[in-house]
Amino acid sequence: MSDEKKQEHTQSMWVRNTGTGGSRTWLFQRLTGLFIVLIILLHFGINHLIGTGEVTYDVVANRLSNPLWKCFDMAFLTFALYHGFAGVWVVVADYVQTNSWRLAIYSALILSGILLYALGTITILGFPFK
Amino acid sequence: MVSWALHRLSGLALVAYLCLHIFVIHNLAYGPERFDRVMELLGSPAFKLMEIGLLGVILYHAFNGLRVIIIDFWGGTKIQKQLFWIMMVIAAALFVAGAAPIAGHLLNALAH
Repeated sequence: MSDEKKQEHTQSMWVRNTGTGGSRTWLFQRLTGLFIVLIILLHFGINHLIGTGEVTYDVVANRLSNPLWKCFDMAFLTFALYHGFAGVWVVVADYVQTNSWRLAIYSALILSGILLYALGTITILGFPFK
Repeated sequence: MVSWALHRLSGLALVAYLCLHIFVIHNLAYGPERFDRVMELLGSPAFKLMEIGLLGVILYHAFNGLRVIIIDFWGGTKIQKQLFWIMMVIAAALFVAGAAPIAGHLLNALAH
């Protein structure tokens, strides 16, 4: 096998192996999904249905002053981002056929996933900002 | 097949929303004035209407997802069609229960 061919082979193996990810990804998607259903109903209900339905700085500040709420929001952020990006990953694996495009999109997904997680974490754990 | 396609589409829409949501809520870091200004904008009737739509998309994805989990872990491929409609009835009931208060806020905002 020529070097070029070998590289192409390794690359296609990598892309294939990171495609749908196998049974662990499958299981994680279901577990995080189950968790998100429970948590999102609470989240939506508390923010939009109880009281005036207004989310003000004071309302959020009051909630985020409680470490338990910080944990709740961090868990939500973690599971939701993981679940969402793992879902997009599978969609890309299904529809994007060329390796170079897959690599580009996967890289963009990883990078934006990390950035969004960092931004969300700063918002939740960094609050109040002094 | 249709439920699967809708699951993917709603999932992609929810990821897009999640990204926006993380950015919008990060306005907390810039203090009360800015955050409340952004939230006031998002409390406008047009956004309240979209919020009702968001609730619908979330409930579809959540309850179709629960159906997938039930089928995957406990079998039930024979009753998956019935299960789909059972889940959709629950989702629809929750949608009405959730959309009503938002619609109430919306009408209040329009009246003022």
